[in-house]
Amino acid sequence: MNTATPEFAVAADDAWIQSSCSLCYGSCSILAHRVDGVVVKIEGNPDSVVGKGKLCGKGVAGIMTHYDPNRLTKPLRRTNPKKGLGEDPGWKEISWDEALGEIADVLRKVRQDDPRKLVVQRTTTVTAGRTPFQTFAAAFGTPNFSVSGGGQHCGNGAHLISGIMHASWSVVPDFAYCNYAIYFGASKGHAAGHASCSNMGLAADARARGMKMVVVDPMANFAGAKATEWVPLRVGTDAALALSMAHVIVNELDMVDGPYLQARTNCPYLIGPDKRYVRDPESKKPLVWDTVANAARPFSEVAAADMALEGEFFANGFQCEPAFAKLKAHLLKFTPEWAESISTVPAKNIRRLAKEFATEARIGSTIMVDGVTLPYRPVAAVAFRGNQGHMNSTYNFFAVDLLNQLVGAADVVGSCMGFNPASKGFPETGRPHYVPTPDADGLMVTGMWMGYHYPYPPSEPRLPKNLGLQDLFVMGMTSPFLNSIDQEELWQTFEVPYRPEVLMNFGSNLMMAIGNSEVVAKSLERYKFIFSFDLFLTETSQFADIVLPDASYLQSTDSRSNFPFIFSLPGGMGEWCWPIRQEVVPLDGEQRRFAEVLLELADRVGMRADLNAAYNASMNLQAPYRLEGDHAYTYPEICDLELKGNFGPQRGLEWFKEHGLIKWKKQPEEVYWRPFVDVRVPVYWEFMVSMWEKINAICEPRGVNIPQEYYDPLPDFLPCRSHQCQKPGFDFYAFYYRDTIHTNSFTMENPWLDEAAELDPFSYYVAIHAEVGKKKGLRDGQSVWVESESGRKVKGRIRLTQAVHPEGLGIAACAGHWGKGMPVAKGKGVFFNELLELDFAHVSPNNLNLDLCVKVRVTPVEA
Amino acid sequence: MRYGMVIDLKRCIGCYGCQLSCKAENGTPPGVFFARVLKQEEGTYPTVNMLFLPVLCNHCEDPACVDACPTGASFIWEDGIVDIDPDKCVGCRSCMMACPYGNRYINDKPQHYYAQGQTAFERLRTGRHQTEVVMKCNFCRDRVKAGEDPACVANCPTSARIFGDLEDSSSIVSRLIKERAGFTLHPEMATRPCVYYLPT
Amino acid sequence: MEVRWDATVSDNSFWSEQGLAARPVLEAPPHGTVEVRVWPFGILAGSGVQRPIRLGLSGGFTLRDVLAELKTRFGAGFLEGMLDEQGELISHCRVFVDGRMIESLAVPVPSGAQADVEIILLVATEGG
Repeated sequence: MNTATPEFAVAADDAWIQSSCSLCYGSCSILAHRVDGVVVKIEGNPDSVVGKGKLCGKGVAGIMTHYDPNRLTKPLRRTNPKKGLGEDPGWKEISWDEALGEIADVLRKVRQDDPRKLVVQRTTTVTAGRTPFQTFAAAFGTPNFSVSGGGQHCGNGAHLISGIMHASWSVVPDFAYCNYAIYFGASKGHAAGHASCSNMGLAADARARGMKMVVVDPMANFAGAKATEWVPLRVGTDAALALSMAHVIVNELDMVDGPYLQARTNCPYLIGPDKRYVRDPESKKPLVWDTVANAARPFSEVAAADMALEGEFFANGFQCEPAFAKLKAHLLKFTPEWAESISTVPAKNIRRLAKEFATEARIGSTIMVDGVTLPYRPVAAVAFRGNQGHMNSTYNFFAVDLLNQLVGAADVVGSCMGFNPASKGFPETGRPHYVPTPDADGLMVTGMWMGYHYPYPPSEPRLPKNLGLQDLFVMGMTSPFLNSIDQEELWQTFEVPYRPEVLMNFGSNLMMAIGNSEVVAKSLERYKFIFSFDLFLTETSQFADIVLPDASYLQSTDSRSNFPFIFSLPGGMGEWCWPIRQEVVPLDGEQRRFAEVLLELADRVGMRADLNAAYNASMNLQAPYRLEGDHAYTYPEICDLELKGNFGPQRGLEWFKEHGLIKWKKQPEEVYWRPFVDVRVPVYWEFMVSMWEKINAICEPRGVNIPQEYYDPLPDFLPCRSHQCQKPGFDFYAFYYRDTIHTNSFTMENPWLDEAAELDPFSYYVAIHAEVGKKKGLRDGQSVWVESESGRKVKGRIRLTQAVHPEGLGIAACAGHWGKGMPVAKGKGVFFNELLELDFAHVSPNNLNLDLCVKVRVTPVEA
Repeated sequence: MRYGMVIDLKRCIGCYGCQLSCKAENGTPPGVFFARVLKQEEGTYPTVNMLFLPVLCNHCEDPACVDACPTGASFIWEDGIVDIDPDKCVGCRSCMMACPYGNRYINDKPQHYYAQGQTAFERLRTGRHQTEVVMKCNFCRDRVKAGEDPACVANCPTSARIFGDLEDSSSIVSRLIKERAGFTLHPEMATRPCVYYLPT
Repeated sequence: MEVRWDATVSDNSFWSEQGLAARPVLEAPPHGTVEVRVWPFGILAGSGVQRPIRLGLSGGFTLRDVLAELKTRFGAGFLEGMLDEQGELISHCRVFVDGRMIESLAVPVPSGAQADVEIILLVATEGG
């Protein structure tokens, strides 16, 4: 703490306030030092588990974002009715009463007409925005909720599959015990994202302890820089490498954890010729082959040890094999030699990595943690954004997790684990309580999720009624179709009975966040009315009718700044921790807090009873801490009820303002819950078979082709569009990666972070391999055009480096602002997303993830 | 007593937490960094190593900067911290040229980060620095005197920075330097730096 | 080497006990007629129905019976979005009976002269 600074000794106001960061969605706990009303320092809160008293560069720089003179202080109304790229809105300052009056009129009309015509969109940066905006959308009655670039740019594949296989939003190595981690396009522990500062410390401790870290990545910046071994590969071919490693483990080494596969996966389930489970005619339960009874019996009636994993059987009138036998045969085609031709990783290295991984797994071993004997598998294969931002999003991620499943390294000591999937709750109240449960087929259903539709079991595909078509493409969490060039065509094709009319935007800069600006601009121009809660005028607020000046995180209060535990509390042993956010300094000008504005809007629209009911549901408020009738609660009152409900009547908002957080010890049965909960995870995704049939039955008659290979129960390598590009001169695979000092496009406006990025050799540059660049006559620092096959282009400066795959072209973060509202950010870095097409052809036909790699050519900018 | 720092390159992930927490602690103006992170590539593809190298004033035992200072503004405290007395500094920059590490900066004119002028934070924290003087890291001496670690050490998310007494052979810094073959930058300059690095 | 961890790890009932305690146990079904007040919120309130919908149900009945009565009165479309193809609650449909969140349609609606059933659909999607 910088209490020692002599000039503070005489200050009348000198306070350290416990709160939460909001420079990224990690929401680490902070201490803000206020002297005479001015925030003079932000430090990590050492009392908290979230960040463990440390902050990344972004977190400590939050002061400058808060004090940015470019922040909005008054509501604005556009005077120029024409919207478009380059149109000046002609902003006019208006009063809050006028602004909310006009917005409420619009909302009331559209709600009466058809509430689904409202699209609610929020940025992922502010984790505390999730509940208020989701709750408002539910109360209003619209299913159309979007997180802008979130999902499309971080994890339709990663999050969904982490949910299906690990009951959590993301996966990490169990840093305290893992000995061998292999990262596929992931940054966990390297200053980005979920539990970011905590994971940085845990990963450093693991490296210091001797954990080997193999990093599969086209570029050796961040995670790759800390790797014991960097494995560069051709962009987007992760599944080829992972499947080949799986093949070596299963078919060449035969080093699988059979008992795990028998007891905790669907590997023993018998699969018939139609690729489906063979089911018991009466109970409808999937059958397994009982090797003792020598008969097919429902899985729930057979001891795991007696379940056959291999062999051909005849059951229920069908020739069938256990799912594991199907997998084993399926993997045969993924030889290391084949994988080398796809990924460029040498076959001998693939065999070595597979052997190292399987050997280090120590299959069959146990370890004692806090007096409890537990399975010990100190290896982890983890993946995140880079791995799954492709056409083959689902399988790229699934294939990596298969490595964990094969050796039993899933949510046990030292293994790949979800963030906190099982919580017994605060000891005095038993809340929040959640734990995975089995469905009728014995497969795992998560106990907690970020959206309220769980990742498994999937919904039944239907003729879509949601604008994003996720109710047809049910593996899709977020959708690009709210902004794609072909949205109207798709809505007509699928007879979507309404069109979006009003957009409520919270902080998202959609114009930069998802794809090329031309197409996104067209999607925004179609709205009849847009209103936006913003800190600054962004490229997106230029399309708004009304802009509302938001409070900064240092001016806000929230009872769930880091909720839920599956999102950003560090995994592994230690403590549960529930921090809050509270005001450090008052509002400036006419700024208002978004959560409170939403409450007033609900009153003005006449939907307070719906909002109260929605809060009861979304926060799981139980009597006597429920919201009643249409009573006009303030947001601090709602926060107070939630905290009392979870932690007892004596621990309301005032208690939390004084203490900042509450924490209690994690139990081994919570952290390593897997042996104690009788659920299986699907190694064979049987549900994909009927899913494709149902989706195809809707799509085929409408002339939409859904390739069946994207819905096979077992993962495959499927090429991206970029892999099929044959155009001469287009010889780089452009990709982007998250920069440690930037969050989305937001922090580009922070001058401390901008200054650091300017000095970084990569942040604002286009990285290409030095020799390849020289052969093309390109110089370090030279200005170039990076151009896509379809002619979209961005300007950037070349950085020649050894640390990138020769076919790769790496661009950092979401840079390249052009608007006047964020002058520090303007013109900095490279706007990668401008290269991305936004249409059905560039989207995974399985999980709707956008293809985030693009084949490009590089040409010098003429002087 | 001789204060020194150890930076564990195996732990450092180049998050810029030190560079930015230093800025927040000291309110340094644009272009002035008491702590910085450099990135260096070593080797050739595919056996390449990207090194994150945090740098700061080395608080040398035989500092070239102090020798070069014509006014006595640059000096060594009894605890080994090399510091600058701004009241004596005339901004001649001799020390900047003498320092082999480039870790001294001139604060030649009043500066602020936004075109609109100083923020409330900068008025309090940057405004107290004199102009037309040379600035550099002093191991957050006010914090150290109060028994705290320098800001960059206290904040480091990977605990890559350790602060302590190099003359105490039982201190963590002394033990780490011995056990893990700690090294200094540019030992050939014979300035005897007190900032040590542990290999990756 | 090949130790079966499902054999070495004993289930110490850590989860089963707590699981029971954490879920509210509702009282036995009542006798006689109960006025059930149904409060549809959000998109479910959009079909022009007056809140609350008052139903008279008698004997021991469950939430499933309440929904069946709603279907009889307002048609199958009223339940759209609440139930899956198997007729069970979808995961983002939340139902509270007398202020307590319930997870299964088999839950009996408790005794007393009156019962309140609140229903809302939460947002299914999320990313980030």
